[in-house]
Amino acid sequence: MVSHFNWWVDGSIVGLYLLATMVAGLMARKYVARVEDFIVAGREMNVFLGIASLAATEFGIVTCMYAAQNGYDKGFAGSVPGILFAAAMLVVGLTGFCIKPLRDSGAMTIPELFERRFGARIRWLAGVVMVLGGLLNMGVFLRTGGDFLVMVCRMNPTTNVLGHPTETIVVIMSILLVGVAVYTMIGGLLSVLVTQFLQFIVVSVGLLSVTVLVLTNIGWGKLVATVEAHYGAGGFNPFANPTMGWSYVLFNALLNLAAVLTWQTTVSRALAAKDSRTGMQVYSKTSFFFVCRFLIPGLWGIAALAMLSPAEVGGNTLHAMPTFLGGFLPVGLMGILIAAMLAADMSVDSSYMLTWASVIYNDVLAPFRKGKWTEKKGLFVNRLIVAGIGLFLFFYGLYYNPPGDLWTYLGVTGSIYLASLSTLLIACCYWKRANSWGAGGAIILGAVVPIVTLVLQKAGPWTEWVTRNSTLCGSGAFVLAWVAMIIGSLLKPQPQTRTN
Amino acid sequence: MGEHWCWWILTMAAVVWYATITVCVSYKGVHDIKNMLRDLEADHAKKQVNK
Repeated sequence: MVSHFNWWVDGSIVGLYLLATMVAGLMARKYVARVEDFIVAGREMNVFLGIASLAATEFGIVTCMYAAQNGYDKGFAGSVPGILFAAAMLVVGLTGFCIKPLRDSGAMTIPELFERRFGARIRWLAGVVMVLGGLLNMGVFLRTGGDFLVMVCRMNPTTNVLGHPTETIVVIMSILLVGVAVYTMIGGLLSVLVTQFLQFIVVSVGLLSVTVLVLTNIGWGKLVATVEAHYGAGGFNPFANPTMGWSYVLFNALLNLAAVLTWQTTVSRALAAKDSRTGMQVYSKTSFFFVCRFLIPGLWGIAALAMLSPAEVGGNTLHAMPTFLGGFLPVGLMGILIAAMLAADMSVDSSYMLTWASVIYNDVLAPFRKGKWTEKKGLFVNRLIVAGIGLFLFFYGLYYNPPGDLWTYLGVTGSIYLASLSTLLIACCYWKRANSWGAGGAIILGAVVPIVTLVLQKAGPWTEWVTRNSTLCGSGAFVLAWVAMIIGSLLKPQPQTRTN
Repeated sequence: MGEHWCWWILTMAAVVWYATITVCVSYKGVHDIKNMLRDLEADHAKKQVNK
């Protein structure tokens, strides 16, 4: 198959975008003087910049790939996680459930809030599981982004670097990583916010152009008929789909509510907002984006199902959408799509690197910062951590291949901390009896179940069963986290109140 | 449109909403960035004076 990527036309569009991003990202560096500027942009973010930033943070190539895989494998019903996420975000944005007290507390990260209620040990433990779940989760981002670009441009699997034959994916991953790490390390969240504004616009133009082309060239009727022919009613109704069912919907409902409340990259937009009202507006006004985030790439996945034979797709359905687009898009639009996907990937990688770095600095390293570090030293350590995370992304992506579908892998790794920290956050804000015993138990049990699931998916006699029922295991983590919180909190003796 | 009209409506709503929010954010986001950088600069200047 021949790619429609033209190095002169499409390459120029991509080059122009990359240049503009680097310039914008580096220009913001002069406004970074304190750790607070680096981590939460001095808390000066307003509503529309917040919408652009939140949308750009939560839409990367990896999002596009797993949403398209869901569309290819499950039809329209594959968009259900996006609908559930949007519903959760709208409710939280309108009511301020948990995020209002969190923003009002003035904390920079969620574990910082926990210290005030549950003590320093719980803050540290929460930071550790957050980083563990967050890094395992984003570990596949760089590789997936590289895979997409290699496939959509139909590049050769190997290329020559200074006379040495090297895997093309390694070269692409290196370029992506260096590009993102430079401005993230220098300008922190300020650079990320400014570049994400640009990236949001580029991503939107790319996504809308490709979707309009898919709808006009292939047609709604053919997309619906394809889903009908392959999946019947299950392609439209998640409860009628044998690969989904109630356990999939339940797990996704729990997971998405927990992500809205505690996914640090999402919450950091509420924490960087001018005030809690602005944070709530960012949430409610961005909520419908999460339907688009699943439905639009899902349509591309369905289009791949309609246009490609199984032989053209090969064994991995994750590659169906980029393979389809590589041959479907004309010159010019291909450049816009690549620029859009690069923008999407860079915005997600920069934001995630910065977010997990901020948790490592603010919470995991908190016990080692007792003698207060200078702002200069704090900024230097933050930058060092961002660089370390970049290296982790590179090697993890290169050597780890997630089992099953990508969305479920992301869900299970995310629930390492989503199950426990959402429990802690709700209890911290609204249950007076909650205490450190319950919090500790919830963190441990909430993390153990997803970790055991990940291990058993790879080794042992139950590999097939665990892979098939991973969503059930994920829901189990939420239930156990709550059970531990309630039992632990009730078991700990109440402090005696002194009476005169 | 046929019997799966709810998916058709949701798809069209997604395309229209996305196009609208992109135009709004492109216009108003520039003001937000300008204001954010101006406030940060003023904040830093104030702290320098206090030192």
